[in-house]
Amino acid sequence: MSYLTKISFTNITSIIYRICIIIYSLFLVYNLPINFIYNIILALVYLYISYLFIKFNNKSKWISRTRLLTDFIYMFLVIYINNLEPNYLLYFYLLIPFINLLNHSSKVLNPLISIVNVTLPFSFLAYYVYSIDYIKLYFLPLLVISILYFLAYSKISIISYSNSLNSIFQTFYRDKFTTKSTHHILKKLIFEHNKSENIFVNRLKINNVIIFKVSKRGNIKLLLGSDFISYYLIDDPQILLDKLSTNLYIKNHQFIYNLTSSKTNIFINITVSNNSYILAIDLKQTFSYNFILDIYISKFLLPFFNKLIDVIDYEYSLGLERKRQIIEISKDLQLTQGIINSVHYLNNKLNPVVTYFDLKKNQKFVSEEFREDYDKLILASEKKASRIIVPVIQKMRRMLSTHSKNSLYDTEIISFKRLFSIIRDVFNEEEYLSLIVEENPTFNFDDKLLCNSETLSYAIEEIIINLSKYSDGKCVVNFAQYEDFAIVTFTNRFHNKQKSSSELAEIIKLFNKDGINEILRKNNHGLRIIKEYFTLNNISHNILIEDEYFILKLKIKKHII
Amino acid sequence: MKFLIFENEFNLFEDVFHAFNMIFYGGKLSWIVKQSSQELKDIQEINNYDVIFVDIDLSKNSIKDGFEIMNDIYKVNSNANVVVLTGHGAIEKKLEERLDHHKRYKILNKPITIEELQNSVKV
Repeated sequence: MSYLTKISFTNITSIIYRICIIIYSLFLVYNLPINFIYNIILALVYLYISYLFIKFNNKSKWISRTRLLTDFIYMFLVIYINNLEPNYLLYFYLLIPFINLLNHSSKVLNPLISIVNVTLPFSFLAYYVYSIDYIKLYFLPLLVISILYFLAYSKISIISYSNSLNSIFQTFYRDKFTTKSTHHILKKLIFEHNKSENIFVNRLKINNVIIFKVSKRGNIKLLLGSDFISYYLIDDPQILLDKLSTNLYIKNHQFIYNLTSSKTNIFINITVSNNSYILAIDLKQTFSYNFILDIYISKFLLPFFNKLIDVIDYEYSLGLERKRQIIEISKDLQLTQGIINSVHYLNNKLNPVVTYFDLKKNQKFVSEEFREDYDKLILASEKKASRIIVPVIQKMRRMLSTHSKNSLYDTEIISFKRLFSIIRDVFNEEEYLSLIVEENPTFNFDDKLLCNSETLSYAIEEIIINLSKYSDGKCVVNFAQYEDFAIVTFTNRFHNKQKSSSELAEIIKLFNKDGINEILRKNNHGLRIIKEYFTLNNISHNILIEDEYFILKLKIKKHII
Repeated sequence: MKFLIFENEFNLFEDVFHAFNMIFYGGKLSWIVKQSSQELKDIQEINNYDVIFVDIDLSKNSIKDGFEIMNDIYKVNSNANVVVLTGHGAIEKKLEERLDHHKRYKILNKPITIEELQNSVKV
């Protein structure tokens, strides 16, 4: 790494600051050319020492102070050698706090320290080089400059605070983003907030931030907190909810968490996608300036928490989806377990049947001595076999009816918008096939249909897999509107090198028939799946080949409520 | 020849054993059936038998399942002739996981035929 690349922006600020001092010194010397050569030597020495400080790039407090001292020594020597007019000196020193407002670490210096830092050597110089009376002249501009400086400092520190809040999200998304780790954002928020040196933010130190979700029935339920929350109790939750419905925030609503009684706090309500969340910010001390608090909450906290609630709401939706998937998986697991149990049951119970035929088969190997006993055994086995058949069939029927109630058969009402997005999503995953949707302004995508969206997705995926084998790369989808049904048509130009025209015609004939033909079941897995799933979803389906176009038409019944 | 059989539904298989006895052992084969692990009072008794049949899924009343019974058997006699009775497929992996040590055993899948039974007891 080259030396130049090591120089950060903050180093550059520091360099500019010192160059300004030198330029100003030279400007003064040019206007009052006394001891010119000494000034040049002095500037070069100062420049070299500054270069050494930057080269070592040491950020320790003592190095920083020594560097500042060097600056003052240089200033003192310039003034001393040149015996400057007091006015020049005054302007020079009063500007310095602004030049060095953002120090080398880009942190905002406390205005009091900064002004004292810069003005104390000036006072010292004013006393020794000129006269003590001059301090009186200095006092008024110092006061004005201090006020200006304080305002500038406040503005910069608030910008710095705002940036630090925004950077929390950047860091979180970059480094830590996994669901269920959102509480890290709250921890970081409290850390950044409490370390802010802004005089206002500094007075609102935060103990904890706790986020609650308001259930559909209006109950307040804990979601997460900056600390682990094992217990909480909100006084009069309904009153709190009522107040929050008409106010931006509520102050000091008493609540208890982890055996801590919070008396100084702020409650904020944020609603995202019809989900209502409440934030409780437990403060370390009271704050009574409502006007400033309004500005602070609306300009800083709300934008921050809106982003945070977006993340939380997204997590919440993911959690619901995960739960749904687990239910589906457990249904499938039950089905699998049911199949295993059925096979085990059959293997056991059908043993007498297998034994009966096995005894008959081995009859010829039995010696004369046991012939009679063996025949009795066959008779006994036959009786057992005949006894077992009926219960086995009954039990298998029961099992079949139980395990048919799995997720593949569950239906839901979805809109044609959703159907369209299923088609679009499946196409988006396919690299070699693009979807062209024929616009049809008369089609109402808000109409509903009753289906199992999973099997419908599978069927559409299978269509796409088949199309991508034979298509020229483009598929046109058209939605046509009818009174109580819709026709969705997939059209694409196809090339068929694998099957003869007669074979293809035969497959299409089988596909267009009602019910699943055994030949289709054995020979064409893809089309069988498509047909099976469309049948499950009560979707009529038909394939046509016109010239070199392959056309699949789906007739979908609308669900009219 | 004496068999020890751990099986809770032996009535479904006993005809095969009778036929097997008549055809191959001239009626001299004998067996004792235990429906649960606790029916065998002393595990040392296993040394009195030539082949031990162990059903993996015993009745709910059994304190130990087939895997645990096999582990007990191998502790007493690591060379015992054990035949695993199972109605589940792919039992080998489970046996590998559940047995303390890898031992020699044969697997007899239900439903049982005379020929399969004969193969399982061949030493």
